[in-house]
Amino acid sequence: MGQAVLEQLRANPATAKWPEADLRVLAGAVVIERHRQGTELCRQGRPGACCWLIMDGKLEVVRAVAGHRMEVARASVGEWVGQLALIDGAPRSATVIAATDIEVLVMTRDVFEQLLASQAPVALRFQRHVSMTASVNLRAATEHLAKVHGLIARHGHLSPADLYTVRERRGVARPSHHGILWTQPQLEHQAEAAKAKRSGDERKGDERSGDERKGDERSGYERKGDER
Amino acid sequence: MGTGPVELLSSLPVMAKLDDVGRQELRRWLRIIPVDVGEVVFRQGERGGALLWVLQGIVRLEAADHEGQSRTICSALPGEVIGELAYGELCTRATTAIAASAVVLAELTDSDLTLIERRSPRVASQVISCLTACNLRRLRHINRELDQVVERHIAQPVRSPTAEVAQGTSAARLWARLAGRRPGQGE
Repeated sequence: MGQAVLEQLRANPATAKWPEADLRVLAGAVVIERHRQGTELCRQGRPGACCWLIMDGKLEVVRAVAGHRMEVARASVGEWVGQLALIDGAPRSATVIAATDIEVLVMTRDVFEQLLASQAPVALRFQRHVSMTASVNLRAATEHLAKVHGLIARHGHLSPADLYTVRERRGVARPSHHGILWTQPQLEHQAEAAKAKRSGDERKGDERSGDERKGDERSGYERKGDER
Repeated sequence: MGTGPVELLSSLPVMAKLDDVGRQELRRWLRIIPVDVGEVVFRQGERGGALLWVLQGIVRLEAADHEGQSRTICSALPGEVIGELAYGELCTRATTAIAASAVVLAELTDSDLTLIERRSPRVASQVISCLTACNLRRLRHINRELDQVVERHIAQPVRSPTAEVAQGTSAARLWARLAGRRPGQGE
């Protein structure tokens, strides 16, 4: 299992250039999960316990604000998603859904803390990465808040189109590879389509998100194989 | 005032997480900077690459909106970090920092942090952890404010006719409404 993960880490754009020793430590500490398209990996507002590195497929990050549900990022192979949960375990700021069948590396907060305690160089490297993500997201949120304040000062209110414009600009300026950002808007039907797909999937009855399934040893994808 | 730089440095949360050796190591690299009220600490868009801990006083953080008008984003209190490390192309300041009172700052440059990483990874790890936690708190605060501001000021979305059709509203009722008539009213 460790060897297979190691091979994947060597091939993944996010970790391909990491020293072999770091990759070995990481490979021994993380697990790979497979999920069907439409699976919800985590839900906005629920506590976070892990982050994901996409090994194959795409994830979509959606966020509900003032009754508007919009896609804030779309992440693909080589991108980390949800890293900030490793720091404080605070409620997730967005919902993460598998936009395609996906394969993800899962790093839990426990593993991250163990790596930090061991003072392995990979821990510091990853810590820098998480810090950068927080920095990038803070920068994006700061820009966004300034723009929103500016629009309100000028017009006295915001229209949904204003929000979309702000996000589209950000989306164009900075693609989603830094994690959860406010990027381009998506109308509600996108989230609804994903939800419909999910409910049409075989995993009927399992309402839990990925964070809550963390106790299960196998992924939804693998479990599904058993059910058939 | 009356509190010396050593006492101020000791009060930093990051110091509490280090042992004596670590504290001494970090102190060696920190540069104390006093700033007068109203003085600009750094400007948005300037080259960054240094962290600044607020030891005393309050720093106001502002950012320009899309028309260049400055907007207050939040304030940083003692113990908090302002500024960011240089990450590749992300080496410019995201905000303008202005001393809202007489302020004392402790600066750690990115290059010094790299040196600390080599000499004592544990200290570097605590510094990064402290920075990340601080940025994360600020991020969550801004996101909450953003949600509240949007909620307060967003105009209610107008349902499109197609959305009503999708929701099962009868075509007759919809067309009647579009034509300014009540359902059931004659031609």
